Amino acid sequence: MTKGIVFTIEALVALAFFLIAISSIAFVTDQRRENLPLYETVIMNDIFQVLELKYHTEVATFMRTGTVSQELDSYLKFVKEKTGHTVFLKFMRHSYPYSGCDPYFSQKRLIVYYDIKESEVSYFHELTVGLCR
Amino acid sequence: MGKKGLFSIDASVAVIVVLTISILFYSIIQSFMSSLHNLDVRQRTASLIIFSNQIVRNEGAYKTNTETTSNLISMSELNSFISSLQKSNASDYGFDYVELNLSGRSGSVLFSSKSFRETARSETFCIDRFVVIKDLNEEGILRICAK
Repeated sequence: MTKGIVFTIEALVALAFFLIAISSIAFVTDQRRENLPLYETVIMNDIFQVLELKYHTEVATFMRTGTVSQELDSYLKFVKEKTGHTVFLKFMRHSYPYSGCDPYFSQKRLIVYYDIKESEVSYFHELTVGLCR
Repeated sequence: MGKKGLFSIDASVAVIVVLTISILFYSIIQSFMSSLHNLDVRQRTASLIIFSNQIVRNEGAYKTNTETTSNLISMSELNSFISSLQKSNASDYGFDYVELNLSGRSGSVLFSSKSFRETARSETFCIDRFVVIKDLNEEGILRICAK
């Protein structure tokens, strides 16, 4: 083999392999992965459970009429005070808060209550509960 | 062959290559150490969530003969759990220090207890769990801290 000015071809090839390996490692380790929303999931599960334990009737009323009782509104404000996030509720055309929510995390939950619409009885209703930014 | 000055071209390039490799290795080691730390934090966060789930859904929850109600906290159950934790002097989740604080909506602390042994760890992990306090029939927050 003829020698170059600086390194032999073998040395250059070895160096190139080394640089490719390092670049690949840097690329792989630099992938920005979104964190799993662990805390948000836990918070949502807890809030929904508390709503079911204490505010089932109020939530059902919201889903029927779209109005949020003062007690429920006060509790959701308490949650906002503690977590810094506004909780939103959405069922068909009804939503709370009525404006100014940019949803970033939500779950669908089943609420059971008796309802009758156009002579059709339904028990299971899908409520969307989530957090605003 | 390269021309020779104070240093040969080969020697100068070799020095640059060695320096570059050293910097790269340093970055890799730094990145590795940072990953290990992040992994530890993530593992402890996950452990704390599971540990707090255990308290909120089972150990501290209100029980009847047939059912346990998740997030409905009974202070007597919490007391009994913390005393068992103090007797065992450890938690199964790798925490040496556990602190529980139950406060109502008004912010008044209704229950506060610690279970600990000597630990060199300084980083404390805390989580707030929204609950209903059975004894008062009031909403509250159970803050669980561990290290």
